[in-house]
Amino acid sequence: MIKMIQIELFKLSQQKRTYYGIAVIIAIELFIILGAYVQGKEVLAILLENLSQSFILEGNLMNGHLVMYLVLNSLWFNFPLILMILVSGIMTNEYKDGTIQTTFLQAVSKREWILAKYATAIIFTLIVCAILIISSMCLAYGLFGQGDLITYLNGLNFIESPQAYNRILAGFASGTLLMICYGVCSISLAIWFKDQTITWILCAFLLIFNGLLLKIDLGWFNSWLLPKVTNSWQLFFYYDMNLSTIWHHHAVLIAYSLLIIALGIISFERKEIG
Amino acid sequence: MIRTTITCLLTVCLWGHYVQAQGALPESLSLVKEKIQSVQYAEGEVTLTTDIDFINMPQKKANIVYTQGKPLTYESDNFIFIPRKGLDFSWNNLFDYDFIAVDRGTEQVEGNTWQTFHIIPNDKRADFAIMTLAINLDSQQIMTAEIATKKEGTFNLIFSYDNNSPLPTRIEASFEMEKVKIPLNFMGNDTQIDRKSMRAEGNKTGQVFLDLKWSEIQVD
Repeated sequence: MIKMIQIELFKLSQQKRTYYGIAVIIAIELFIILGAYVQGKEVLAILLENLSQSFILEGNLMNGHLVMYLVLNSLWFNFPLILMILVSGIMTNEYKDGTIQTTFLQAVSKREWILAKYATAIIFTLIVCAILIISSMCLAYGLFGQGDLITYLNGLNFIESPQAYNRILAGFASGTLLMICYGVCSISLAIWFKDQTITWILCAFLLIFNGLLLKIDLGWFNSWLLPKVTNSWQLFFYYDMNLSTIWHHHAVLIAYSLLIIALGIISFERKEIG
Repeated sequence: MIRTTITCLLTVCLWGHYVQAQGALPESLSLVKEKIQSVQYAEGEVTLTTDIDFINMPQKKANIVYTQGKPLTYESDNFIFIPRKGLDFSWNNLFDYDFIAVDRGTEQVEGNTWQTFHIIPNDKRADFAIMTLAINLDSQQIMTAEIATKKEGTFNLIFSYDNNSPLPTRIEASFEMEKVKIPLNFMGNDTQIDRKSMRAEGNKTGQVFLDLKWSEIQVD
């Protein structure tokens, strides 16, 4: 099993598009940081306009924490799309190149093989997320320094720097969990539809659909539907964190990921190769 | 007609009795001014606590330095906001410009005699339209101030002192302000809903509490 994962990771590392994908993610991240810097000052000026009429404001709010928060806010649509395209390739390439038939001419367990694919997807997602987190932190804190984080969730929240740092890390960890969920989802879509283009279209549709449903109030379902828990990372940026909601949302996210993996494995085992 | 004329004349005479221009600053105000202006230099720490329903902020600390004739300076590692009114210990906005002081009488508060004045500026450069000051005649300290500014709304200030200190140790500032404007969606995920409720709610009253711990006060 470990050998299979190593082979899959080696195959990914040998593909040019893996590096193109990572380069595109970093380019988007740079663009967001630049945009956050330019737009962030404007946003703060308007946000604090009323406050500055009554108060003398002292201190730097346009800091690395705010840039990181804006990166978190802006990244979770562009980033998963590229990630899903890259991850789904782990499976669709096998169908496209016909290597799946060659593989199963040998004594390979279907379950182990597909589990290795999912494990590779998770490991690859973790690596890309780590690259993203480290590079954006270096840029944001290197260029903008530290300070209090200002967020607008149930009012204006001023979160002190050390706490803001922990919350940013927690936000990224939550985002990584979401990326893993999207990653395994793309593998399952590839299993069900086999065709590369169809899988990509469905990945994009899934992201758009989630984005649309996120804005609709669904009452009781708000706590249980996948699209409604895709912005769970935002829960870390309320002034008073609701830990039970945070645990619940992340447990739901993990449950969906496991369900998607289970459904993918079952349907792969039942399908004829070829 | 005659009755109306006599009433007007009496009103003007009585008004003249209560109103005193800066040239003849009421004695009680003059004593307060002297006491405040005796402070040459002071430094200490201010702890800021906010009670504004749409602002969530932990207690903040800053070092403050007061030098007579200069604006107060703040130094803090964190972001802080200080009310525009209430920390002008020199009361430059009051004493620097010509004004009319209308004596509104005295009252007994917790064993002390407080005198209230309406201050109406005579100079266009003054940043307030009218100010109501209550001073403690026994300790020559400003106890409360209601300042209706020209551009920044109304501020209500309550001062507390340690004995006869010329500088306060606690200031409670109440003010009216509009709820914040929300510029872009990416500042949060529920901004659309908040924007609607914000319009309906209109102006908000907020309170800021400043606790001052003076480490040094130099008096001439």
